[in-house]
Amino acid sequence: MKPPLPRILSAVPRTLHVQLEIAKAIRTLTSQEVPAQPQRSFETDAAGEERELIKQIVHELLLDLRKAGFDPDEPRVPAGSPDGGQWTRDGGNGAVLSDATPDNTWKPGGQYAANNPPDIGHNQGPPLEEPPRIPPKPPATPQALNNFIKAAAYWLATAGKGVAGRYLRLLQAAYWVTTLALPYIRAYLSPPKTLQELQQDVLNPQTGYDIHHIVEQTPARKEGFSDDIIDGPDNLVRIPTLKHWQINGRYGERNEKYDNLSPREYLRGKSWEDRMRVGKEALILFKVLKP
Amino acid sequence: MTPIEIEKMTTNELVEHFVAIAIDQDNASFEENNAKYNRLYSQMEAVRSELKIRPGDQRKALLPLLNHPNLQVRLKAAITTLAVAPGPSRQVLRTIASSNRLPQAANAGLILNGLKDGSFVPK
Repeated sequence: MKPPLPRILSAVPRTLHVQLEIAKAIRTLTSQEVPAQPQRSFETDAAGEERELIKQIVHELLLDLRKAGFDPDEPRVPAGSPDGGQWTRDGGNGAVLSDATPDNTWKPGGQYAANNPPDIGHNQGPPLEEPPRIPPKPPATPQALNNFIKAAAYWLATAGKGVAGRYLRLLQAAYWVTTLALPYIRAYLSPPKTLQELQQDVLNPQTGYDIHHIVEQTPARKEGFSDDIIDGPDNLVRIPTLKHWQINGRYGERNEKYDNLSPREYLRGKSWEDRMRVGKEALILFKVLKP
Repeated sequence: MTPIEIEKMTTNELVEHFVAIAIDQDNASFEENNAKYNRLYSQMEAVRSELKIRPGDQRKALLPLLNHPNLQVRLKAAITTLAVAPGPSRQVLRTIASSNRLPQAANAGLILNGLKDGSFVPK
């Protein structure tokens, strides 16, 4: 089982008014209509720092979404309304499609945006499926937590304009999502980079990202490639954690392209150059590396 | 569990079985469960082979699945029908590859790359 995503930003007291202050700061930032509120007297230094960090994360996520063609500036259910934490398709008239529940039951076999026939979804229109439900509390098990984060990120990646922004605002309204999930979701939605950028990012570790070996390290070691080349700067890139998992998973899945072998099986006995070619192709196909 | 005797299934039943396998693959991929995915892959290979050897190459019975609402079903149907209906199958692969839905977009792109450079030839 995969280890749980690391908990971050846990220094702040999880009192209601601190959470409300954070939610207010996020709303202020994302609406870009109201100037930032002065800090309240009950705030601790840690709380102030945490809010600044969350604001930065949200700000960068919104920038990434805009780069990807999303429009977060859509009508929404006010975070403080009775429907807070619930999804609405029309952005605030109370037409709730699904209530938030503690258990995430989202499955990939559902009606995704990209599952819709061509010309629907893929940022060309609204997705017809519901987004993953947002549990009011963090899921009880690491696997459930990881599944929620994956489901939310995958849904956002295929959601059309507007709905992605609205769902994002609902995510921001849930304190635990903001602290535990948002860095991973933001990283997943970030645009592709050049190889040089991905390699330079290795020197700047961030929550939401993993260091990835372009040529898989364990099979390469087993077949006698040296540690110098396996862990060398040319073979290391920093990529979103969720895409790291997807790429690793794909290396173990059989595929028609490789004569019904998995990429890992196909590469057995192959040269470093062949492994590097397949590794870079995977980064491009998973939209991490610019073509 | 009793093994499914696919040679006794009708073509329509095989198509339904194909859909069920693909949806299970989608879930296995989400769970990153390689062993489950690869078992399902073998099952799908068996269905493909059975359809292919039936008179008239019944893989064409999968063509309606190119419009199936599940993306994994569409992807696998498109790959399977490349040999019998390359035009529509390639179009579906291009559409999936241009989407942001991973891993299906990546797998469609991989097949298209293989078709382009000749490293994947539909049989």
